[in-house]
Amino acid sequence: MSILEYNGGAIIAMAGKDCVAIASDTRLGINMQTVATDFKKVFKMNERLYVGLAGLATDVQTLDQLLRFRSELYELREERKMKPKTFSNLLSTMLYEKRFGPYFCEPVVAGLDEKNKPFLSGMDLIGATVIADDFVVTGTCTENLYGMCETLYKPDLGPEELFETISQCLLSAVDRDAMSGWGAVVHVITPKGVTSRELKGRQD
Amino acid sequence: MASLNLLVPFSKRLLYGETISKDIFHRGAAPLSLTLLAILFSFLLASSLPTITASSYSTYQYDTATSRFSPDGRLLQVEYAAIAAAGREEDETASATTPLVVIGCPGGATAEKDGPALIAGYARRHDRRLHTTRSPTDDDDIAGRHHDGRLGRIFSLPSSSSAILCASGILPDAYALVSSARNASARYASTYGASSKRTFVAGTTTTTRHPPLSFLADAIGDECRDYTSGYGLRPFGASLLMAGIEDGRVTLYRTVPGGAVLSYPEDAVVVMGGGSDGLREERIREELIAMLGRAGTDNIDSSKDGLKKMVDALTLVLLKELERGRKKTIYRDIDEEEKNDADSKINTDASDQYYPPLEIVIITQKDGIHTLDDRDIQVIIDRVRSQQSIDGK
Repeated sequence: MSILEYNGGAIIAMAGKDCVAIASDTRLGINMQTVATDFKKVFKMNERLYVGLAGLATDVQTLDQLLRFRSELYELREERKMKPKTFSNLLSTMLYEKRFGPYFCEPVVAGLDEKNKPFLSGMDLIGATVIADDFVVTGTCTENLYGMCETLYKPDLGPEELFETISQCLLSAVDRDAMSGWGAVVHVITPKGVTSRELKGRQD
Repeated sequence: MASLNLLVPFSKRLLYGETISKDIFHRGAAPLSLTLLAILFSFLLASSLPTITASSYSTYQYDTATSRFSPDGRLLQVEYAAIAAAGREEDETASATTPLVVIGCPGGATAEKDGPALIAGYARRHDRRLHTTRSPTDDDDIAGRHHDGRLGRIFSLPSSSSAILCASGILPDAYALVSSARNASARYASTYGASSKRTFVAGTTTTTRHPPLSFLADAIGDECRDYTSGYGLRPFGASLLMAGIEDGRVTLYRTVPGGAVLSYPEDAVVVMGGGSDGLREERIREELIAMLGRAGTDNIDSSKDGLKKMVDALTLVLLKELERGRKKTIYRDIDEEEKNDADSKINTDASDQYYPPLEIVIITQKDGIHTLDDRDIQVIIDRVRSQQSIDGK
């Protein structure tokens, strides 16, 4: 089994009309043994920028710490919040710096830019970035996630519809994956604020 | 002049108790009149030595390098740095020209009092009609506020909602120390701060533990001290005050260029940038303490009304200092009559309408750090001025 599948996880980020949603499962396992069912994989960087980290759990937590460190110092020095595009670039650079001893973590970045347009990007463990305008997925069951998203996604969904869509995509996809599931968290980011909800799916 | 060089060791030997006659005997050639002149000159020099001058120290270059002690055990560059850290009134672009005042207000035990609070404020001297230190942006974060950017006097820290850094002295040096403090704070939070369950549990907002202010104060103090050991570098000419509310207590730490860390009591009134002889600082402190009615009383009101009273007193004192400072600048023409009037009341300058020359920050335990924006400050200035005209002062 690959090191990226050691702890398990599934993350989707999806764009709507002037809003983005990012959702993850909450399982933490060691190979096939489930250890925790409330493990955080989506982290807030500022009011309009969230990052989802899937992969080896220790790298998930370390990257969260490092990203928070860098973005907080940036905010203090520049006296403004970091744009999602800039953050995505920063993350990509940080990952490539460890090119020959990488963080085993494949992140997605979801945020609203200064014009309230959604921003989505995903990258591999050494920082190859892709910027999408519909959805990005990462984790141990990406085939399932892509399949569900392609089927259920429609452009320009409002916040509530987006929440429903992304939840259905995630819950259905993780049902067919042994390494993810055991609950989910969904954050919907709009210019007015963020709504976070916990989902209870199949507890297996 | 070579003779001057001879006179210096003369005066030093006077201090150290040797008699002149022995030296005259050794040197031999000096005529009597010149000797008498030398004695007179030495006394003059000796009497002027205790006050700080570059006179005798610079001759032997005791004061040109941080890595040299003077013969009487002083690190002169560090002392000069402390003078720089008090700020200079003349240099408006890079030095703290006006005093920065921090008032601490410990929480009271009774129900009306709102808990510990801190107020910090300073006045800006430079005229914004001529230049600004930062270009305005559309960013909502700083709309409605004038930013001094890196030449500001009050800075925030990461991962912390209730501490600020106040600067005085050479402002670019102060910014370097602030940068260092911010890095130290972020590194601490990263290494030691993820202790709460909320960091790891899904659906919760992450809170990290920020370092205690004493840690930061020590870190900055150590860095200041490192620059007093030489290596071709000069000491930082800036003094930083770390102010915040920790564990329900007002905490104030101050670093000085030599590397020492000073701590203040909870109800302190601290004035930074008060001039190198400390007289201005004393005057402002006493004025504020009298206005706040704190002399000899344990009863400090930290409720909303109490805070309002403190902010008003602070505004009044800062504006008075600003006017006193402005009278000295060269690009303002004040004729004689206006000079007499300006002594007694605050100048109503039209530029203040749009750019209130004050920055005030209030920290409370409940609401954290709150920077007053231009509209609020203008309201306070108007209130204070109308109160002044009512009082007829």
